[in-house]
Amino acid sequence: MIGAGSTGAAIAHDLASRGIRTAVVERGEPASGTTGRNHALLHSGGRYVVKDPESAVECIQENLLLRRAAPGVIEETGGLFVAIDDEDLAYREAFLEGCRRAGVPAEEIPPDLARRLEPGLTESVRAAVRVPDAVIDPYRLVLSWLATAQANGAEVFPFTPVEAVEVRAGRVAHVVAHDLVHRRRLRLEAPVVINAAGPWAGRVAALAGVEVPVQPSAGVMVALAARLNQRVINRMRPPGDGDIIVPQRATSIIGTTSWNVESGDRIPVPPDHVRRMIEEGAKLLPAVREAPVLAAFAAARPLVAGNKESDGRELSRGFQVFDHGRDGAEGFMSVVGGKTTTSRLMAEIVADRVCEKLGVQQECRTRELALLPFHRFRWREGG
Amino acid sequence: MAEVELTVRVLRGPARASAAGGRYETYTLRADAGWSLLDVLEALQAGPAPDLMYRHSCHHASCGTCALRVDGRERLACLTTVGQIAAGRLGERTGHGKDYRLPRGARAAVTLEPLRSFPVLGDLAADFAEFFGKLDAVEADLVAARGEEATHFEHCITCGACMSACPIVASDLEYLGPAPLALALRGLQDPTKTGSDARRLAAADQPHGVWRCHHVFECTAACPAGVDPGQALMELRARLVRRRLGWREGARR
Ligand SMILES: Cc1cc2nc3c(=O)[nH]c(=O)nc-3n(C[C@H](O)[C@H](O)[C@H](O)COP(=O)(O)OP(=O)(O)OC[C@H]3O[C@@H](n4cnc5c(N)ncnc54)[C@H](O)[C@@H]3O)c2cc1C
Ligand code: SF4
Ligand code: FES
Repeated sequence: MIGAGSTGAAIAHDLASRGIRTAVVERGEPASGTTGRNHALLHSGGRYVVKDPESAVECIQENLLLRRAAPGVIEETGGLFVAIDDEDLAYREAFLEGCRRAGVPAEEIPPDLARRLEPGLTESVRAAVRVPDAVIDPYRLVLSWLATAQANGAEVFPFTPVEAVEVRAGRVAHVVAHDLVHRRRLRLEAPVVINAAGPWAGRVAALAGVEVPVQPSAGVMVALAARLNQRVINRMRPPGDGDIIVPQRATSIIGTTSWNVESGDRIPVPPDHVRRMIEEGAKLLPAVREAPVLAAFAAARPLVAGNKESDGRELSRGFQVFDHGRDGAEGFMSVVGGKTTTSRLMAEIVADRVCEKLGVQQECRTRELALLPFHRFRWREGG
Repeated sequence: MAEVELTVRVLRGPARASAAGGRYETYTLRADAGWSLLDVLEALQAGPAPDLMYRHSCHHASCGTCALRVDGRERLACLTTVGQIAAGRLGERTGHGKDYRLPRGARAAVTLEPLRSFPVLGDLAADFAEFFGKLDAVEADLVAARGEEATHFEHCITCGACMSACPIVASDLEYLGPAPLALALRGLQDPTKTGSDARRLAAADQPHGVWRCHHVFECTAACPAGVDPGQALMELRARLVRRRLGWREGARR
């Protein structure tokens, strides 16, 4: 496994729980890429019911499974979709119908009840719908997956950037990585190597001489130094800038924007994006305007590139598995896209494929398996 | 945003038992006043220090990975901005969202060291394995309550700043320390009753437990999340005393 974001960590857990010898190499701290910096939403699917019903169905299924597997890293806040103007109201029918079709539990409540539940909401609430959104601690989730994988025999090497992926006679042969903790070069031989490097997947693929069409698309989030809402608050309209406020610990996080970037490195936080988040957020929760900013940060979605002209929001949120056997690197696979919420499902699909390649017959167990607590994770083997 | 000519002194060195024994490397770069120290470290990684090791994940004070010592005081790198350093305002919790009105051509210098009392994985990256072992001992894996009356994720982000600031931890590495003890109390108060209270009390009530504290309250001063572990420790002590006296918990509150 190359990369220990939610994708790599979930796959490592799945493989290790099927008894497959697994090693994970991560260039830095676990979850130091997109995963750690995401919006922390355990999607109910509500955000996708109209435009991408398939994703919505996956979200609600995985939402329930993750609550059971790792209750310690999930805050069961619930979520609201609120309409605050005519345009939002015009979306209401499609939204409710979409929820019905995708099996996302949605309960319309009177606007005044919504304001009793969330006293910070704007007076202009015209319609409100409750959904089972929740809040994840993405860092702890990744550590929980990795700790469980470690307990099942996987080796995890943080601070170990991959430098080379050797391909010989049409097959992947080994990976060379720089283990910065032990100041040595690791040479890991494996019949299957999986590239889960998120927005860096294109670069890692290039190490093996193959191409992956990943288009990193960045988003800015603004965390406030106050928790203004108890539930996730979404704007009832097609996904756009600044339409969601996620409460996490003592903060409320407003997000997000979307623009194409070169890679996941050194993503700028444009001040106008921060201002826009505050403006849009204040339409939902007026107190956003006065609340002091705790931090503004950005992450890059590892989207599968289709149309390079688009700003990224139209690209598929779904994920893709590239089997590089057909590019002359049998055994090398790249997994790009998706969501932290649906990582377990992505992992199941990828691990099934790996088992097929290895000729191993082991069923996926991650639907039932509970994860170990995050603090069982160890940075050094044997440590 | 104003640019600052920033001189960064970084305590670097390979994996070792404690922060001591590294060497200081000095780098100078032009940094935007709005950058956090994580942006600075990333810029160093992209330039003169490609193998620089430091920990980060959430970039908004939620994951607890990025604590280090900034000019000798524990800080979250993600909340510390270049503008704040240049303005000499490291006492403020965050430098984000503020305009420090720096003069043109401002210069500043800062020293970065890994947390004290932790083994080091390399450079600025502390090894949290032993610290996490202490969290395990108090069953710090709390489950947030469900439904309408949701209690939040505990506010402690397990960043280790309090452990680094505590003089007792520095002299007794087996001492459980402020965050694990504060989380033990939080566990005892957890309305969902997750985990074993007996185990938490046993861990707290032992020679390296709650009685080692000398109430210096450096932990509370260092905490970037407003947890007040020092006060939690005192409350945990009071609970243990009440228990020894045979008082029923809750009866006096
Ligand atoms: C702004 C934003 C908000 C989002 N909000 C949500 C949300 O609320 N809920 C949700 O479910 N999803 C959300 N997502 C989507 C989700 O965060 C991503 O789909 C997911 O985190 C991708 O995980 P990943 O493991 O594929 O990539 P990453 O998390 O980026 O992991 C890739 C890893 O590979 C490592 N790596 C890179 N190069 C190398 C190398 N050479 N050697 C070794 N390791 C390497 C990196 O360090 C990194 O840790 C959001 C995304 C964005 C951008
Ligand atoms: S108590 Fe405060 S300083 Fe100590 S680990 Fe928790 S958040 Fe960090
Ligand atoms: S990066 Fe998460 S607390 Fe600083």
